[in-house]
Amino acid sequence: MPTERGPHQLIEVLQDVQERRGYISEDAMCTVSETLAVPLIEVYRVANFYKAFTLAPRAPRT
Amino acid sequence: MVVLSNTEKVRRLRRNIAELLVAEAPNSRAIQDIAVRCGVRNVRYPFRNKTCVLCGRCVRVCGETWAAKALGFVGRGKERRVDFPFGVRPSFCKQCNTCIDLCPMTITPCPGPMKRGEERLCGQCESQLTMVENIPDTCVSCELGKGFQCARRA
Repeated sequence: MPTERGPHQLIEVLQDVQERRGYISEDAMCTVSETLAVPLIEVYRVANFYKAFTLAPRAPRT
Repeated sequence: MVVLSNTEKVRRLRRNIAELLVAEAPNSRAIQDIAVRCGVRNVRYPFRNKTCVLCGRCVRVCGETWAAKALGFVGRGKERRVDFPFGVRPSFCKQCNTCIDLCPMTITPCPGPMKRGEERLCGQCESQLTMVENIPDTCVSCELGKGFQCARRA
């Protein structure tokens, strides 16, 4: 998490989550919502809006 | 700069939008009312009979009046919808039901609810149109609850 925390960091933080975990889970969204003081519905809306964010773990490629 | 808000062109555009709204969701007294006020005479599009027109009143009252922010717009374009986070009503939703009270889709047209296949432009209030035109109303986007005659009568 960046040193300063605020709603303007939302997309950046979601990008970090996507990069580290490979997807954005419900728990991750709740944590982001609490830590950045952004309403949960707003985190959910942004995570659903951009195609760069996936909400389910991708199946491993065989 | 001069802004003209009631020219023939503006009225025609308003009428077209109202016509599209009725085609999208004829099962709402508010929308039928708007159509009559805008002078819609017939609907040239196939009726869809949807249950949400994405007006956003529920989202606004939950976020601005109650600051609970349990509802929001999700998705984009055709997929846009109003939803709870993860599609589940959160615990901080106190079930105040204000969202339902304000929803224009929860009041059926005066002649009764329209089933699939029997949707039409209601036009029942047309005789009262001159009466309504003399009542000054605030613009719909200024205050929640004012601007269209969508009142519930007991």
